[in-house]
Amino acid sequence: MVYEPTLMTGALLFLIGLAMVLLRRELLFVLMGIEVMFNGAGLTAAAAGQYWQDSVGQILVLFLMTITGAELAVALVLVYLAFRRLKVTELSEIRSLRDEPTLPEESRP
Amino acid sequence: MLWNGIFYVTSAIMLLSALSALFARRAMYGGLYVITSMVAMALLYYLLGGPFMSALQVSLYVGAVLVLLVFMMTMLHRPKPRVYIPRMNRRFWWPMLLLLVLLAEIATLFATGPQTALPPIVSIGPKAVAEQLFGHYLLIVEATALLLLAALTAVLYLSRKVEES
Amino acid sequence: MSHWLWLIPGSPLAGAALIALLGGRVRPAVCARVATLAMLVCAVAVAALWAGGGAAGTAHQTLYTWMAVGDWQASIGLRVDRVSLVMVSVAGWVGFLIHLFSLSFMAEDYGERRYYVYLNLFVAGMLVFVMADNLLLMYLGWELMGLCSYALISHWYRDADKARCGRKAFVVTRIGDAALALGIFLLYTHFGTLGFEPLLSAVSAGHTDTGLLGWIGLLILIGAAGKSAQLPLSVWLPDAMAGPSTVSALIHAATMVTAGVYLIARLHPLFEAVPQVLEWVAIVGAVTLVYAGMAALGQHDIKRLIAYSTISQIGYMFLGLGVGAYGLALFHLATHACFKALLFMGAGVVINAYRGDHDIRNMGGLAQRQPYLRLVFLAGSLALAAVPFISAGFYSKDPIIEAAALAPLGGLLWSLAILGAVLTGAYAFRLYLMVFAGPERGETVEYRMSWSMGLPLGLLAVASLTLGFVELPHGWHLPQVWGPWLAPEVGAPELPHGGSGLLLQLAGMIAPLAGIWLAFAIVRRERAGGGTSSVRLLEEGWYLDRLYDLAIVRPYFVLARGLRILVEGWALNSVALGSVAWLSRGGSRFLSMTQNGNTARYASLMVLGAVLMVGYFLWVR
Repeated sequence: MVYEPTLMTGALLFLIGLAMVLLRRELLFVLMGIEVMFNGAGLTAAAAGQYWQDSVGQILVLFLMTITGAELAVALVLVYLAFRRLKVTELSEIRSLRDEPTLPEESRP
Repeated sequence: MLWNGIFYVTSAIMLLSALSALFARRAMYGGLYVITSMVAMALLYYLLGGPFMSALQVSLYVGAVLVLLVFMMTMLHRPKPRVYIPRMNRRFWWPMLLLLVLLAEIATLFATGPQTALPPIVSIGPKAVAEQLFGHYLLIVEATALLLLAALTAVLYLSRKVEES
Repeated sequence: MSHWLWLIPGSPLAGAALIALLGGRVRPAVCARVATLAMLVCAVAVAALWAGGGAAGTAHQTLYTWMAVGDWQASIGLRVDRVSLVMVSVAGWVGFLIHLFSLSFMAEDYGERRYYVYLNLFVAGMLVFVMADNLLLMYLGWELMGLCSYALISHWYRDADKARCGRKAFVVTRIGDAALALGIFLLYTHFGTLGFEPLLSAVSAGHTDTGLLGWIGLLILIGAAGKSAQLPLSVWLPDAMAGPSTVSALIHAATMVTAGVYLIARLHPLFEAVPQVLEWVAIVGAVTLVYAGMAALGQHDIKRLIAYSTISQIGYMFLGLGVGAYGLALFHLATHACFKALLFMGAGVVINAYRGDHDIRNMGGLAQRQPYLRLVFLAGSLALAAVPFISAGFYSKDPIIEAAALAPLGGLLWSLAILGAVLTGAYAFRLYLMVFAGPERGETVEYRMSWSMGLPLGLLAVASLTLGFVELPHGWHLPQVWGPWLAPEVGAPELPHGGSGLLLQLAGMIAPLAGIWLAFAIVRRERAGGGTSSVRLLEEGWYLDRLYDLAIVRPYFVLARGLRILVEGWALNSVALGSVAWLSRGGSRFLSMTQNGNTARYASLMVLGAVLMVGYFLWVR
């Protein structure tokens, strides 16, 4: 078999996950998209491990999963807090860190 | 030959369900689509010679991570669920453009150039993985454990009950 | 004697420095005495120079090297040959007399200390100018004189009009200064040296392109015309009368306005190499003397009249230079210094006697109140008019007129010169008669002249009458000292002999007398209310000031305003600065779009980065 289609598949999966992050506004969908992105990376790692005929690919995937789990846990708690405190479920409604551009009045030099 | 066929069909299922998750109307539908995609992914892992990985994928990703996600969906339940209607405004087209460009780039990157041939798939069992994991990569395992501990602490702290002031 | 040459310019320079630094602590009268003392030292040094044989040879002293660049050096060196000796004596002695006069004339005036600083500094500048042995040091003296002239003309600067007159003098002479500087640059570029001896010998060697020399000569002529108030740069002198009368006596009679004459005389080998330019010198002189003579006839301000007279007399000197009679021009310079300084100082006394009134139409009959003043003024007027035999002016002016007849364009030059002689007699005696003759008119005050004022006037009056005897008319086998003495350095002019010579001498004698007779007629008409002062053309100096205003000054201000609005306002402010400001503001606004708190925006930017990175990899591959 050929190696490149596997990489393509992984990349496509990554892109779809990226699309979910960029195009969907709800917080939970963003998190799901991140999961899908991780999966795409994992597929690439597994294929690479098979290329080198080594177990290191699987180990990489294992670590990815572990870290994903940890990250998701914390992220979900934050989403829950956002829902409870700020009453938002959409990414575009969280704008407290906005930097308003305030320009000085036009003055003649 | 058979291997190729199963591989491509499974990849198709995985990609299509991920795509459907992108266009899902409700959060729960999206979650279920993602679960489907991950189960297909587990099969792919097995096809690529990692049985231990496919087992972990099902039990960790599907069984723990996504279940957690589904739990959160139920906790963020709203009486009148909001339905997602995609709007083709400027907020949509700019990331779309970027994604298309990225797609084109990746396609060019992988499709052109020399194609490498893989040797026949060898199944690398759990024993080999464990030998490496607790031999060569022991320190990373310990570090990951610490990371999980940190995540645990963070979650515990963030989810404590505070007085509503 | 060469070792003490530095004392001559150094003494007034030290006086100026002393008063400038320490004058604030003492009374103004003390400053006046210090200044006069410095001038006395200078005058004595000049006398010692004469006594020590300066008249025979050349005294030379190099003080130190001023600047050295590569192979070229400029030094501060003083050199006194016979031509310089004449100038030094005029500047030193007449300068001393004027300082003496100022002791009482300028007492109780505001800014007295400032006056003496600049007066001493001016004399120092003039002496440096005439004693310099290279063009660079000469230019230094030239500029120093210009600066002090500006400061002295605007002495009563609290009156804005007087300050404007000083500025006008400075700006107009600046045009000449720029031309002179260009000429010096050209000379240096071509000859590689600025010292007079090497330079002039190189010029006389005759290997140089006459086109270039012609340009240099023209530039030097413009510079000289600026400082000496000849056409077309004569407009500053009548207005320069805004300063005190003693300033006019020093600067506008004896020293600064004669600087141009000395310059051309010093550089005469250069002019001899390009005779066409020399012709222009003569033409400038001749035209100016008639122009100024007619203008003087129409003036009613006593000092403006004498100013136009100065312009006219220096025209005679330029005429003399232009026909090759350098020694005669210098002779006229010396006599003119005496009688013109006398007239200016006398005019100052007259003005004070009439309580500050300058208008001669309000004056008359002063002879009865101020007999001494009347006598000295008469001596000066006789010298100015060049009355035959008894005045020095006759012995110096007449040979110039004769020499002009023999030059190329001699007919034109001689006619203008003779006409000028008639006009000179007319306006000189018009002035004298209107102020001193006839019954008493006008308001006078009792004004007693102290000895410090009377003595200089008397000495100058004597000089005005007797100085001429060193050069008696030629062709009669009479003793002549001046011409032969200067001939080794500047050559001797050709003068007409025989029948035509006699005729020309006769004409030269009749012309001033005719002018004086005219003066009587004019004064009678003036007293009746009309006369030449009612002729507007003459009074306004042929409207030269107004012509310059329309042709040069107004367009210049329009141009300046245009530049301010267009170039500075639009191009620089709006376009250049504005675009920088617009860029910064626009850039800031653009960049702050990335900080709007929108998470989706941040994610998009990360993807943008990824796109760029992958693109780079693709490109590299």
